Amino acid sequence: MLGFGFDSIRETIATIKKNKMRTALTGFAVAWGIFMLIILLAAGNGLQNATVINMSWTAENTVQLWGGWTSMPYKGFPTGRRIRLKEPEIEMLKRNFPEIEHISGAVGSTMNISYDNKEMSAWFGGVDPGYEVINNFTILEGRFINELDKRLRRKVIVLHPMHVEGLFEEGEDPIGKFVTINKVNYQVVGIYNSPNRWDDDPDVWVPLGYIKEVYRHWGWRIEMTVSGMDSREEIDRFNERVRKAMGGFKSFNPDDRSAFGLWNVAINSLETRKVFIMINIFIIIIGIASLMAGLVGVGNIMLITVKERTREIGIRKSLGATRFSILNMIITEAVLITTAAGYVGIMIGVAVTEVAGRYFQDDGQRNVMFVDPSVDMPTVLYATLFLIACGVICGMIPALKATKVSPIEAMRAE
Amino acid sequence: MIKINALNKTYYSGSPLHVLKGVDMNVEKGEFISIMGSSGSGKSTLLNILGILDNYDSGEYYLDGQLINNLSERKAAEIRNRKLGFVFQSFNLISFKNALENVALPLYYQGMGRKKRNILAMEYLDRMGIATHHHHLPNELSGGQKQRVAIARALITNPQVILADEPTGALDSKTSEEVITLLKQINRRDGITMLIVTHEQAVAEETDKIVHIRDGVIFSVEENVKR
Repeated sequence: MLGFGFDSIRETIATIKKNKMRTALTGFAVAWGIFMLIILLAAGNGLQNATVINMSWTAENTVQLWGGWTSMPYKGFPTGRRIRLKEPEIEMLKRNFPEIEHISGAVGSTMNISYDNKEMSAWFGGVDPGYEVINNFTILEGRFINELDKRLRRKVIVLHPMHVEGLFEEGEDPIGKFVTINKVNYQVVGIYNSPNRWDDDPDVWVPLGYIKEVYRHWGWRIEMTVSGMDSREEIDRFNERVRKAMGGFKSFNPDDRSAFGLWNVAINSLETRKVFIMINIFIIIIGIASLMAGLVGVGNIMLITVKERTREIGIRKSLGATRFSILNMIITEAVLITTAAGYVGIMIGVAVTEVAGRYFQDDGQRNVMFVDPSVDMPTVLYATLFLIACGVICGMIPALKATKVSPIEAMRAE
Repeated sequence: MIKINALNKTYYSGSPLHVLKGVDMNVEKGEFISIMGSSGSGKSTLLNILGILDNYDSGEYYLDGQLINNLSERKAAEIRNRKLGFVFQSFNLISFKNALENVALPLYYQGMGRKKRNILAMEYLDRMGIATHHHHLPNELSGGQKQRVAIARALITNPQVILADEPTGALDSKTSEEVITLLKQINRRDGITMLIVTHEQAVAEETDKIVHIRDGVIFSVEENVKR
């Protein structure tokens, strides 16, 4: 059957080769559409990746509490009373707020850590198990402080790679070794990394249960993650309930904002989520816009092409071409051009994003504005297929019309 | 070879236009006939119907003993390809194909392989005396050369009838003469039936029979006595 064979493809290729301008214009429309789609999607993704990294320094449903001084007289108590948050407050919160997922106290100070002959200073903090979840730590080696450590008041410590680098020989495994802080030996049980980009001076962690006696007179910072804070109203309600509960527990006016500090990160997360939605809308609009641009380009050129070829179609018909063979010719041509051009567009686009990706890499340390601008390959392939289909349809409608015209009229067309 | 009875054709674009009003015509195999008539007489419509490029409303049209009526798209295309050859006033060569490719094109629609059809095309170009120009594009050829390429293209499928619509209309008188002589030679040598629509008396006088069309009917048929 004439039409699908090798010969018809050769005939099509010959036609493409001899109409370079037309081919180039159609191809350019598709390649440009795909190229712009890749570049813009990659830019959107780069922005989104950077936002994710910048916002990941703590879990998005974190609440922090810390003590302060009262500023309102209450039930006979004078102002200026010191409010300290410690174990009883944690227990009270656990009792009254079942929506708390993880909760940990935190207390500590800057200390010198030594191992062998080396010494460095670090913020030395006591925390409870779960603190690593609240702060999005990644455990690089070993483990974080666990329940058993807490209960048995074990002298264990979790270090940051920076301390490993500063205290240990290269290649030395720090796990199981003992480091000394204030004349007490702590066994290293894990290495962690924090997503916090604002802190250049990482901390070391030990069980709060063990060191709380050292900081007997200090208040703790309480950190917790809370479920069900998905809207501004829920967040406000939770904050209010905490103030009231704390005020009742410690006998201060719940409206006294300086009695203790409360920072609910979920409010920021809500804002962040809005930013993400905006970025996504931006990406979708960009995607649709660049596809539309490609579509208009391809459609336009296919339309002009067929119009320009009315005469050729008439001649071919008078020589014995069927409508089918002519449609087949035009569609094969459209598919060949748009596929080849789409491929070129993908290649160039991906090459550009690869180069940009190398430049905009996340080094895991500094704050970032733009990270790893890459594209989702299936999206690009679907977009290309979409443009190919558009090319075919845009070519087919006028071609169908053209093949219906009597050859005589077609040949009269100038 | 061609037999038409009471052929009627009306165009319905805007007000109905009754173009052919009962045409009867009989063309024997190997005849060399010209059809003359003023513009609007219906001669081009008749040629289109004969070439199966257009349908007729009523009457009968037999080509080579086969009734041509309401043929399927594919069947019509096949008959055009195998039995008919066209020569046009404006040559109607495909502008981006060279002479050889233009001549070979009808064979492509027969499904013939490329090598074979190029050999045949070369042979026909040679017969027309323009083999040396086989790689030229149409716009690099003179009017006479273009019409020779078109004639080679019409002949390459070895058709039974050649339909020529004002084949000399775009040519100067000397070239016209050459082209008509060529058509006549082909008619004489290969016995191919030839119908030439023309309004040039000089062209008509070269043919065996002159059919005059006026207002959609055959007004007179004149045996060419000068020959």
